[in-house]
Amino acid sequence: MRRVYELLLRLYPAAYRELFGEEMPRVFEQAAAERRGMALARFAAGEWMGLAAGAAAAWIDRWKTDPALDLTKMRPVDVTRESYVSALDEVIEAQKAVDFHLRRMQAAISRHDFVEARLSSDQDRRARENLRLVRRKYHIAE
Amino acid sequence: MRQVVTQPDGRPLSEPVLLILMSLAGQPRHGYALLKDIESISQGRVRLSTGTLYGALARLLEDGWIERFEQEDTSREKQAYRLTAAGRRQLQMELDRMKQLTRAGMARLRVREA
Repeated sequence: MRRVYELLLRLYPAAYRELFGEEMPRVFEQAAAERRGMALARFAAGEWMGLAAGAAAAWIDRWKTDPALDLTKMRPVDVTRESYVSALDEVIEAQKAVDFHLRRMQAAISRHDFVEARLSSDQDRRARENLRLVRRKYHIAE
Repeated sequence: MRQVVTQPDGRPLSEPVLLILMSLAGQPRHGYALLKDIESISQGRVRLSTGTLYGALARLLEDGWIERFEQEDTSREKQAYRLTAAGRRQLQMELDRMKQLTRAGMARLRVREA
């Protein structure tokens, strides 16, 4: 059952799968564990249909969003100066945090301080997720 | 001029979104806990599918009304969600709007009964 769920999850855009790809099947499994027999079959069918509809909605959402902003080029004429500057500031801050935690992790590994390395690795993951969310918020091209 | 940030369009919140915000107003929750709490808040009337739940969570994350964080205790669910100040404001506004509508509706009913 989980396998079918994971297959249907592939219908979603990659960014969506990156964000929820591990979490959704786990939640599905937890909810399925509460049911038996026909109730389980009905639940699974509803979930699969929900996934197909959700995937369609996710693609429509993606196509409806504004064209991606490329921060390596000049500000497009239809984008306000304020929002362009705040997009730039937030992306730079988020990228700095990623670089900082990556450097800290590399230094810890070279010192064989694996406790510190693990902590930095968690912070690095959080910083990358934040960067991805900031990019998404401003529709910035990767 | 185009604003790069997605702005809320001022329409009433959909029921799943409202229920998610209500659930998170009490405390941060992970995905499965959200499903169970929403079922409980709605007295069993609303059972969200995971597709609907995560679709709504994705939009709420994008709008900055909720945020995702990693729970310190390493139970089965690591990722949890909590309301941001903006999300709390939106929920408050929506509940005020509903309260005002309820008051107006009840007043009309009383007039009709009198």
